[in-house]
Amino acid sequence: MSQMKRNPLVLGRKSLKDITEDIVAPVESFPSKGWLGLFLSAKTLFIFYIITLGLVVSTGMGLLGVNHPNAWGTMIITFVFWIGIGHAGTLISAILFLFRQKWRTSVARTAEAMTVFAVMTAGLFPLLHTGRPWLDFWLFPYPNQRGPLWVNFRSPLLWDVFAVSTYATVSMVFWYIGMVPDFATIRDRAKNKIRYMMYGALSLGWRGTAKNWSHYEMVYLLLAGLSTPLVLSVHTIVSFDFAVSNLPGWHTTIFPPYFVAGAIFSGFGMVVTLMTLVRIGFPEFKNYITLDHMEVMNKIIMATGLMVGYAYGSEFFVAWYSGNLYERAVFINRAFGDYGWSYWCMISCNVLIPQLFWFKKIRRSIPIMFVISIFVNIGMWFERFVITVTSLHHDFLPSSWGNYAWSPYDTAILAGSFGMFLTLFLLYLRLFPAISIAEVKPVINVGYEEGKH
Amino acid sequence: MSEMNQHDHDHENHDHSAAPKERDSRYWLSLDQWAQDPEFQKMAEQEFQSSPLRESDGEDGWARREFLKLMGASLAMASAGCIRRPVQKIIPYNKQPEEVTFAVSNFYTSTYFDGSEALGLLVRTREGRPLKIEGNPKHPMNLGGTSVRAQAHILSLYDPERIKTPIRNLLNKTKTNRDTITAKWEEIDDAVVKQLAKGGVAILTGSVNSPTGRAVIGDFAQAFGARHVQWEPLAHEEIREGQKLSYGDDSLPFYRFDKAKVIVSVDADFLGTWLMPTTFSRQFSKARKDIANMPKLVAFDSAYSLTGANADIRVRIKPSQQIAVVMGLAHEIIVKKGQTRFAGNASVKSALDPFANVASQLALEPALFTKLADDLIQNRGKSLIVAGGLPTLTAQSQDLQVAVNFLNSALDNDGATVEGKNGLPGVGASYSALASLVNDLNKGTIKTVIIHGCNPVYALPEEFGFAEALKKAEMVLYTGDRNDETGRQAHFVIPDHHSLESWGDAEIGRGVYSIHQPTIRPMYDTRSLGLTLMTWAYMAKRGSKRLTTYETYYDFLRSVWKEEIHPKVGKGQAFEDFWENVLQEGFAGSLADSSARNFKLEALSGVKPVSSQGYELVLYPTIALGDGRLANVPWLQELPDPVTKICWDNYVCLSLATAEKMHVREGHLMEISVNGKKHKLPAHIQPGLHDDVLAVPVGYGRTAAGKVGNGIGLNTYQMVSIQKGLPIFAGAKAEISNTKMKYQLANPQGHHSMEGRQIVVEATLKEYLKDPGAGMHKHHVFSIWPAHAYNGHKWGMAIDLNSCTGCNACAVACQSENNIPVVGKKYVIQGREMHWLRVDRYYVGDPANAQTVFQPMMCQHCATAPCETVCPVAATVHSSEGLNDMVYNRCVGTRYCSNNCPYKVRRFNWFNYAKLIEKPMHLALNPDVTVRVRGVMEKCTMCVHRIKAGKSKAKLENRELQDGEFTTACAQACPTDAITFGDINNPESRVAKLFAEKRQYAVLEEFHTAPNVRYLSKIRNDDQETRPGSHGHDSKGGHS
Amino acid sequence: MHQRFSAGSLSFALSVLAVAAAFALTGCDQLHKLGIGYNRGYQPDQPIPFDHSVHVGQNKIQCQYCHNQVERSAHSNIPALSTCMNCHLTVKTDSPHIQKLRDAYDKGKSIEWVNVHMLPDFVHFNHSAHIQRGVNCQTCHGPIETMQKVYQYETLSMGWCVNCHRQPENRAPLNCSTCHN
Repeated sequence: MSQMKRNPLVLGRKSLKDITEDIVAPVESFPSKGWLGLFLSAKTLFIFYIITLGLVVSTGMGLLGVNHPNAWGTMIITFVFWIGIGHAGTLISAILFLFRQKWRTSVARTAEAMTVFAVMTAGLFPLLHTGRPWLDFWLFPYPNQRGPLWVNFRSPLLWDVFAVSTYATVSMVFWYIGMVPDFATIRDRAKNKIRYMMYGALSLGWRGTAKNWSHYEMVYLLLAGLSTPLVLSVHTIVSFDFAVSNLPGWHTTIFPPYFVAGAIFSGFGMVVTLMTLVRIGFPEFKNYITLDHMEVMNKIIMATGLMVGYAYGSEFFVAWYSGNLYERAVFINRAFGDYGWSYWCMISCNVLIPQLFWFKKIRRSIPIMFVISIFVNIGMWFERFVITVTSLHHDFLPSSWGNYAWSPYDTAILAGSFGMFLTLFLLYLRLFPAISIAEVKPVINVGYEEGKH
Repeated sequence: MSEMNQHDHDHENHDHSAAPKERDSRYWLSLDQWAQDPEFQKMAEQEFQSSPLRESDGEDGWARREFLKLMGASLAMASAGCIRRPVQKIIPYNKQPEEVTFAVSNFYTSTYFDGSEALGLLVRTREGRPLKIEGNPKHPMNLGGTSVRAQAHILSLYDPERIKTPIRNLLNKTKTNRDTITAKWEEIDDAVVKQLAKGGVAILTGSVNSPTGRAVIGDFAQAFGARHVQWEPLAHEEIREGQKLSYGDDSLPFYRFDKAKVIVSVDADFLGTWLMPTTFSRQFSKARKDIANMPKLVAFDSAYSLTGANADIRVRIKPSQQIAVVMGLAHEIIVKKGQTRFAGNASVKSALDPFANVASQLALEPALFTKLADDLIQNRGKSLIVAGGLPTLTAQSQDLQVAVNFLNSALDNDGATVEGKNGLPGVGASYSALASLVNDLNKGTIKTVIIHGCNPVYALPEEFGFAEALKKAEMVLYTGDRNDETGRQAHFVIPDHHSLESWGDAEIGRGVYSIHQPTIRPMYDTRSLGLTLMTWAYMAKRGSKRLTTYETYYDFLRSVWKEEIHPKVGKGQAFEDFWENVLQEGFAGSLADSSARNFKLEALSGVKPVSSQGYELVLYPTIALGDGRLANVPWLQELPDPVTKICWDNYVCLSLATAEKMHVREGHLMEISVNGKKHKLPAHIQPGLHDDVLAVPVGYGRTAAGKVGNGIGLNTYQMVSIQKGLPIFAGAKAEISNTKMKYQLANPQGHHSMEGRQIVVEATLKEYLKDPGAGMHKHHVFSIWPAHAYNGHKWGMAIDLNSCTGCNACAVACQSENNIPVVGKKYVIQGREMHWLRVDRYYVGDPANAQTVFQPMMCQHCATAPCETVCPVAATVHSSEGLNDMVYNRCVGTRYCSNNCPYKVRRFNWFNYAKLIEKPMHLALNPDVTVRVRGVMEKCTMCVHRIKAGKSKAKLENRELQDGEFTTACAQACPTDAITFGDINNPESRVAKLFAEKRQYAVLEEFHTAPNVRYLSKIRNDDQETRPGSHGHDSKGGHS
Repeated sequence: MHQRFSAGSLSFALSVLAVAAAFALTGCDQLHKLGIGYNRGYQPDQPIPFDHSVHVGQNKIQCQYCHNQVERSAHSNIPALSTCMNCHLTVKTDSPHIQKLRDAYDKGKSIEWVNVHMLPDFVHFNHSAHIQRGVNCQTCHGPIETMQKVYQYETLSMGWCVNCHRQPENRAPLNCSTCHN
């Protein structure tokens, strides 16, 4: 068998000390102008977002474009969008971890942070899109004084509640546990009291003893195993919200795999977007998040892009093959009806454009991959738009057909959700070690030691 | 009661320690008692036996303190729940009126007169306020059916903009000043009496069909030498004139659509807006229920009327062709086929000859025309030709009437299906009379004008010169419920009772008298016209004894009934018994029988063919607004027009070809110039319209109707031109151009084709006779789940699409019964309308000449309802009686149910509509139905509150429920008996029998939603072997 | 040193969690027993201190004598003043309260009683139906004949209603629309 030369996972022959220095630098140094600028704008958007949501909750859902027959709109679309984003992180950190993919180490932390924030952003929507958000707690089965009155366990929305909350908890814990040793590192390097106390609390009294390490490894392994099925289950269940209903265009068995593929697709799209930004923001990270990393992720984007492409195709085939009058009408309307533009936008962004990654040059060109990853994000938002709106607005009885009444509030909410996400992410970059020190150190020699396997 | 009480929150109203001591000590009664309760303390400690806090307690006990703090907080919160109780007051009667039982409705017989038709009503009241209008099933004319406006006029009682006291308009010379001050009754009465002494008095009213009203006005007129002029925008003058020319008597005939086998309507919208639509709908549908030999309705339609929409054969014409149609038929029958007694009559032949080949001019295949002629010949004495209404008010309107009368006489329909003199004795409105009044005003011979129950300043075109003439009068008095367009031209506006507040009566057909009881004490300082006139007569010491002696209008009314009506229709009963009986039944007497009259042939000679080219204007009244008098009732403004489906606007209807020719898109602003004036109206592209027709609804563009009605649409009465004192509503030459400016019309139904889906099932009579189930594709549906068991009742509803005329009475009845909010034009455009019951309208066949089908659509109460499974909080669930219960107070508003509802009949409260209800409109809310808050889903409940009331009534009386002892609001209101509600589990019930019919089907049955609302297919009696191919249901479609 | 600190923070976090958990577990049904949030024991002052224990307890007046519509209506009526005056034209006319009543009666005015048993507007309770099935007034209103001043005896919570309706022997309907529409 021929010997394969591995590319180094960490460039520039870093010593262990360098690594700590490099990675902790952003946490310990004063924020750059660029970061401040980004953060302030993101924060403004976030505040704007909070105000908009406040208005919607206090005045009524009527402010948004939802109507009859389109009872679901921007909020659900954007919810599914963000939940989707939240998939790459756990995939990278959990599944690739279990498969012992060493290259994951340097991107895992940030990808996972992205997951957590995406899920937080998404989590707000199902809560706030209800008519009476102050009664959302009725969606949880709890002992009450109404008989007691139970929730309806047959409703996919209820499954959703459990799926998303579980996923949020587990991925958050997983992320946090992973950071404990690094927090300890920062704590020990801390120069002032507040820092010391803050990271002290966060590091949960980590002392780096062998016992600590063995416990840590075990917990991390277990959590990885725990969150692996979630990567698949969450979006499967989200897809049930649609697939279990009887609406033509929603009522399809292909949804679970299709949604999961789409989720990973969009997730990696977002990871690439952010990583390119991180590389620009913190040049020294270029040595850890290398072009090789980006290339691998671009390959995954291309692959999953093909998968969703296949899903789109099969939907149409089934619609035709089933001979179902209503199904056919919906899909013809989807491509050529009032919202045809959104469908073609989705196709081009999700299926056609990622095909450029067949070329190695493009795979390894930061600016191009950045642009493409943006397209992927746009495309995936429109995928959810297409699914939700085009199915609802032309259903069974032509008498009730009608278009979605898009309002400025829809725009505000869509934009604002990015404000929330970016605010959290930028804060994370400053306050938490953006690359896992503890995990990178073991792999510095990969690609340098010759001849050994 | 509690629904009506006001909640005022006061906090220190009661203290908890004051609780009686003899109560079981297990119950916590006061905060301190609870906090000190030792058991509770122990429990609290034991909570944390095994917790890590135990140790830390030892050190500094911070955790314990922390814990107690939290406890304290929670106590505060908990007790807050107790203190913050809204305090409601209960205010009992001083002396209990024995007819009032809280929460139990009383019904009063009454009458609603809309200017031409008078409907017998039962007004439902609760604790002394009217809540809902129902038809009086015993009433000889409408037999329990009601019209849209009869249902809605209850809201005008609670209209916040009614004037509450007499007011005086501070008019300047030009009468443009808008300032008003409240006046005193004495002040007005004195002024008026002084003025009346000067003579030259005119009383201008709408049609007065009330015998007592006629008596009081007549007496008054006599006393003061006043002239009484009746005028309505929809005057029906042309019919009376036509009758006069043909038979020498100008009273309206009564038509018997129930007796006719072939009905030809030339622009007479007898199912929608013409004469007595509700009564005629009842007759028409009654005849059609016997499908095997159902009558055939052929409509020659220039606007797309409701009658045209329900016609078996609809022929699109333009107004200038109306006469040709009728005379052409006559020629076909009498000259070509040599039938009827006029065959061979030279003068008749000469009159008919100009109309020899009408069929070709009409651009409809001659076969159809000859077939129609044959049908008429075969059904001599059993056919009926009608023409009338605004779309026939061309320059030749009377010729048309003569022609129609001639044909009816020729076919021996006169005396059979046309009962001379029997129709609407009261309706004496006349443009010509008004014209002469205007004349005298200008001459100055009229000094005082008393205006009541009509709005000429709004509904007359400027060139009629009324408004100008009115300024010449020394004193103008207006009695009405608001200071409207005409009121503003008056010196005094005298607030009149609302019809639900006042006594009255109506002669609804010759010899049939209907009583009109008040259902609520007058809400404001108002006075009925009758009493006003009586007061003036009394003060002036002039006039008949009854006019000056009686103290109330009620006494006057009783005397009229005693002296005039009782002798005629009393049947020898003592008056008191008769009176009791009248109040109970709501009416007395019966139609006089009539016989064939002698047609004056000389009238026919005047009838000449009309030639025209270019666009012809057609003005027509809408189902919702009629002549526009109820324009301030939001229910009517938001009610979609049955045919165009547009609400909150009027518009100009163009045919498809015309629209294409001028590159018109729906809602383009068109500029129409008719007799020199230009008007801007949005375009509505109307299939099935004649290419030369521009159809425009009237009744919009009010300027002083109130907040709701003002500025909605354009006042198209200004498009009317006047010739020889008569108004031209149709056939006027018009130029039209496209400004290309965009204007948004509110249309809740955007799509008009059934897309080949099995939604409305339709078959021709010939198909039906072969197979009653014709036209529908029955699906083989099965389920792997066991079905629900319904051991008691199982409520169901059958809707007969063959009877439904799409009149929308059900929709308004539902809105009134179930406290359904109105959302306004902006939100209708956004698709937020709230109607629980909508009447879907689909076009069928060749678009240029489209036919129409209607389908009332509401919650189908599916046995396997898709909405129930997806609601996460089980807010919509299945009841043991087959209903799909919607629990508002459990709903959090995920709206998943709406997404999963194949019929899209669920409505969501996007905003807090209840908050927007302006007082006193809240009094119109039905206390039996919860008023929904923002953020909850709502939908048709099949009037479950009525079901409950009916069941408990039967229980209290220890008896079984009778079929049809109660029904839903929609079924009650339906003038055609299209909706039948009842217990499917009772094999004897009407609904069960209908469910067993071959024509019965479920919409989207292939989805196995197993609805409890079923439809019966529509049958078209149009001599076709099969239906037009371009619609309906291709047998392979609809599978899932 | 950092160790002790973090131990402290940990224990604090745990304690908060524990308290929360304790309430989640015990809270609901404790509060329910105590009728918190349901105004059980609510006993407002009335404009005239009408004493049921005297009228019903001592003088044995039938409930339906005053609440005469309870058998035919969903609402049980508060009697009209005329009903009170049936007796009080002659009985205890010297009492200031009766004079107040008399006064209002003569003026054609009424008395503003404070509603004790109040259900939300979305609950439609039907008295006549329950009376018809032979339910005692006391079952819901408690020992009214002993009350000098009426108070709310039961929670009138949905659970409380449903418990009764669920008893098979009552054969009571359990549809949501029975009470909510």
